[in-house]
Amino acid sequence: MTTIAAPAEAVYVQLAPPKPWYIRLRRVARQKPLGTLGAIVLVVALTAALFGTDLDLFGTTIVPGFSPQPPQETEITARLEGPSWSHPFGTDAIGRDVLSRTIAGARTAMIIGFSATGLALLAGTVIGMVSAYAAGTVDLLLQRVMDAFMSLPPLILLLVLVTVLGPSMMTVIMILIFFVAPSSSRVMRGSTLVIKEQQYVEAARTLGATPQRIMLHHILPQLVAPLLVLASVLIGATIVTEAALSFLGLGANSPENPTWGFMLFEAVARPPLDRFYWMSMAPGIAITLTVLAFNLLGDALRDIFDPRLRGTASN
Amino acid sequence: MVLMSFVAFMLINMAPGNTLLAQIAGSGAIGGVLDAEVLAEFERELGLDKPLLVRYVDWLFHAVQGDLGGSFVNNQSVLDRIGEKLPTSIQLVIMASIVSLVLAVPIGVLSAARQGGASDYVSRTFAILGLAIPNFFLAIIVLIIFSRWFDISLGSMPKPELWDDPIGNIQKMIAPALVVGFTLIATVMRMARSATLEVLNEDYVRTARAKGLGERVIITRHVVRNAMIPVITIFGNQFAFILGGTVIVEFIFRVPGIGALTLTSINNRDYPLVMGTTLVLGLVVVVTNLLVDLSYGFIDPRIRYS
Repeated sequence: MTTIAAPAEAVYVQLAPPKPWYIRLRRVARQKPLGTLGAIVLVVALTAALFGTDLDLFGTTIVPGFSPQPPQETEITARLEGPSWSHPFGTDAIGRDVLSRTIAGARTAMIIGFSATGLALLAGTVIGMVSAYAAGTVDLLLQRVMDAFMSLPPLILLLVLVTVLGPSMMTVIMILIFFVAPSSSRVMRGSTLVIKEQQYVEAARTLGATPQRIMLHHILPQLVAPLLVLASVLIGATIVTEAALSFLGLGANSPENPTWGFMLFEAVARPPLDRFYWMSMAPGIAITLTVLAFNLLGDALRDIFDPRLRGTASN
Repeated sequence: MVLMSFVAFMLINMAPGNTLLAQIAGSGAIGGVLDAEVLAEFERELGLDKPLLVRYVDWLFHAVQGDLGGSFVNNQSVLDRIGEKLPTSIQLVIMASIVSLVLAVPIGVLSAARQGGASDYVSRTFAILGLAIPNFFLAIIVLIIFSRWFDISLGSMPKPELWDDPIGNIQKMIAPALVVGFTLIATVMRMARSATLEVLNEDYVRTARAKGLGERVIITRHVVRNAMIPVITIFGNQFAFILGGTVIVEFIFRVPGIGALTLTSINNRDYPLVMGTTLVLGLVVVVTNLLVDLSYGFIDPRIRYS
């Protein structure tokens, strides 16, 4: 029960007690059925990513995984088998369980999606905020560099860079950051330009606040909503891009950490494609559903946080 | 624009240049024992013994004159290789663009004009799906469907020249074009819908209605023309992505285009060829963006260039 200590002459306002969280959540869920669907799919995907395969910490398994078998385990007598009870999604060319590998792929996808997007947003926010706040020459220079990054066919450049640096999870994440940061810095710059003209920012400046303080304490909190929206869309985009790289054999794939993209490549590398369709269906549907879920969640978040942003998210 | 391409150009050049030697060493080591003398001779032959910066300036000097050097693998001129593959890719991209514009714009406009109607649902479902399905998975699905139910193997189908056998050529290219265009359809449709919705609220549309024009005339004459500007913009922005998409789609459908060439050259560590294709593709993107900018004036006479 919230009560307000009212001054003597003030009108006494009885605030309704805040609704418990699950009731508020239910209301949001009813208003945004698609976004809720996305959230549910994501919870499933995240669970698969966290607990699908054994969760190791310093070489010891803390939580054993729930997937039927380790992704790298081969069963040489059961190669290229169609869906069955023991292997619901069939087995691949060297007898690995496609279901287990798809579950294991969730972890790789999520690690890359979250870390690349998180770091890229960090960089993009800093660049965008500084660019908008400093204005003038700094703004011009930073934005031209960002233009240059964005003017190139992304996938082809990614291919070249991964080839040069050697494919591994680290390089894939680093390179993805380079390609996500520019567009996110553009969005953050736009938002900052609007916010910095607000009167309360001017008031802070009048009070003698340093630029760092204004940016950190007055502008950044306002950027949280667009950041969340941007993040949900960008994670999906980085997951697709990583899958594309893996598909071309230049991703973060390894026997213990299979990626969905590489599994699709393995399916293509084992023609006839239509006879062994199960090899491509599970990872392909996993990618599509995950990305779909992130997009739906992003759309819903955008509507909830800021209806004015409708339709402006990067495609 | 010149500045932009220059900065971009520098970035791609500096990065691969640094590790060129490592690449050569890597590809040599695969063949067996690596002999230092053989390697040195190899390097001399390809001009790799010179310092990085010298090589770079050298390359730049020739590139400006239209000479992109020879391929490491068979010493064919890079420009020739690109020249023979580029038309196929351009055809693919143009077909994808035509397909997506022809499908996306009318559906997008219709779905905005009849908000909540059947076309609206079609376009929104399409938009959501199109952005989520990666084009390589879509390509696989298309291949599977064609070979399962129509008994057509799209991958092994030969690609005749457009002028020799137009029908055979289009048969081979239409499926890849559709796959490349699918993502584009989703984006363009979404944009066409929102732009049309915006224009429908304009005063001049109300004026047109007030003077008794038919709904069809209003949409075609007043709304569509004004709604096309953001659509063209997004179309231009997407161009880089379509080009990137062709790499994978050409690979899956075995279309002998520049995307497939890039992939082969990357796998062969054929450095001049990689540089050449990257540069040409970058150039195509820059030129397209310029064309898009210029087309604004064509669509909307109010925009003038000084």
